[in-house]
Amino acid sequence: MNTLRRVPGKGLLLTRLIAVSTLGTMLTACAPTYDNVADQMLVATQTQADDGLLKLENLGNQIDGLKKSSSASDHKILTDDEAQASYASNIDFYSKLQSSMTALDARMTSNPDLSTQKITPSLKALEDNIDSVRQTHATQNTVSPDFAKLSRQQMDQQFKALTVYELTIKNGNKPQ
Amino acid sequence: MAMNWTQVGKDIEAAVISVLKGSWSTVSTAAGPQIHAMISIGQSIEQSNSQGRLTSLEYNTLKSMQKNALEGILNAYEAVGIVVAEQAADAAWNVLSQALIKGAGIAFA
Repeated sequence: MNTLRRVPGKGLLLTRLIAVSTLGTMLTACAPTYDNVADQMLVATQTQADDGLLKLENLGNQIDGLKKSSSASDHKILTDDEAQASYASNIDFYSKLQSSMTALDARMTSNPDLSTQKITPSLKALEDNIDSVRQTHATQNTVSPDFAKLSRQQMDQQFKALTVYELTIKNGNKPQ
Repeated sequence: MAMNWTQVGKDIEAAVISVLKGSWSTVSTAAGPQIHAMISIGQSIEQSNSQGRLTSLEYNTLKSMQKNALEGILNAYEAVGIVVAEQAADAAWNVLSQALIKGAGIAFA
């Protein structure tokens, strides 16, 4: 007691050392915790992207086929399909997908473990690619079926990388 | 002249390994198949383009997305730093573009 009275900062210093030591141990020891909500959001966002791009691919293939027809009824279907494939008809798809990506980004990077910050560039790359598809669609007002298909395949690979990350955590391992 | 995509794939993997060095052994099991899948998509982009099924804007967008995606995939691994992932994606892209220029005579930025 006398010692503490003579050196007032000593007790405080000891408390701080213990706190810093404990915090350091916690940060180095804990692996990211599996987040079921983030996992579900990831699956839902991939499905959303796949559905929208598959729809554009199918419409594109149908439009290519109908353009070869001279039938009046086919011409009507062609006009309807072209309207559905236009950028204006798909603004809602892109907006909802980008909104889902923002929410997914926030959820996946909110884990207190520092390693989760590592996936921020992966999420950003995916968001950038979605925006690139949107800009191309907006510029041309339509996209070819091959473009829709290849965009979807690329994005699926990016979603897969994020899924591997989630499943690694789910299995109790620390991502590589 | 037909492209030897198997060899291009091997060359791309070698280029990525040369950048990732020791990190490759850590990430190869998970990242390896994804890199091969990306190379396969790159091949499909070229085939669609050579068949006139892509506009020039779509082709350029897909090329840019391809590099961005590869970088993003590598970035998902803690063993790979952000700068190294970018360098590995660049290295992979350089091999692919050189192969296309030589093999197909395509002006490829």
